[in-house]
Amino acid sequence: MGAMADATSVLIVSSDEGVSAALAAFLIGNDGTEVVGQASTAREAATPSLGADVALILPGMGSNGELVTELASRTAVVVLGDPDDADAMVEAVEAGALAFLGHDAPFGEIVEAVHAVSEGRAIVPPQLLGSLLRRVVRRRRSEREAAEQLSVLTDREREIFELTARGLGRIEAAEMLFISPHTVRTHMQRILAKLNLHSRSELVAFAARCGYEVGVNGKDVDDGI
Amino acid sequence: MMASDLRRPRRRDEVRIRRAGSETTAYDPSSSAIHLLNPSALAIWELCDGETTPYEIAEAVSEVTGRPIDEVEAEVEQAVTALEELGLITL
Repeated sequence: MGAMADATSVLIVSSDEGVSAALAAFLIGNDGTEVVGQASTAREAATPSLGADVALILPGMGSNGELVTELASRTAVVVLGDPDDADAMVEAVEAGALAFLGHDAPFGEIVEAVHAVSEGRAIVPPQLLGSLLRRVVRRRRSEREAAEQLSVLTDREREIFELTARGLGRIEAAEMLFISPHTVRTHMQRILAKLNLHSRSELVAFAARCGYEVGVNGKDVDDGI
Repeated sequence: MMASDLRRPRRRDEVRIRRAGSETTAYDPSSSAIHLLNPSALAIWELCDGETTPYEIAEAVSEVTGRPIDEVEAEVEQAVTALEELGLITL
């Protein structure tokens, strides 16, 4: 396949080989686009070597928010899905997709979206703009309020807060910070008191609302804090 | 418009929104005026809930569209001003 100057390179992500092949054939035959890869699983799609200007995620895989976020960190993402599922559209856009099209969108519309997002332009279905903006406003406001609450923590307490939110236990956090597990426990008790929280799980939920990365509990977690 | 802008525009409850296909009209019974709203204007009007500042609206638009906040602020300000002049919101 000869690379065309200025052609937008596309990675197709789909578990349906037939649909993927049909779309690939259209894109290959279209001036201005070229297909650099087809991935049928999230793992394949995340392969860094599959560098593409645009990742086109077909129905069935766009609901994988982590996949969308992972791909959106290094390329422009278009998601195709159920045009009547407003929640799915909003979630895809919040995960980082620059465009969401209905699964029955004509191929020409898909190509237009591919070119638009490759230039950094987002395509938001007009009927969704209001609900999407409302969600973003609410989320940002919640994060701001939470950040104000976190301002009462010391730097060390903030470090332990973040590590705990990520799922590290007391011992893991102590090793990372070169302090004793007992000291971590003391800090945790202060953190919970300052934030008016009552358990590690409440802390994790609070951290998620603040927009922090949260993870599953590590090996030495117990709710004895 | 800045983050310190404390205006919280509020849509007028008596304004009635009608959607017909891709078009949206806003009917103001106090003046019998009918205004055609594009999707962006409608979205901004809906966000005028008396709690959200124009800057918060601009931040959200910037995040959703990927456009720089400076660019978006001016457009949101224009939209809010226009909606107020049409009598669809109060500041």
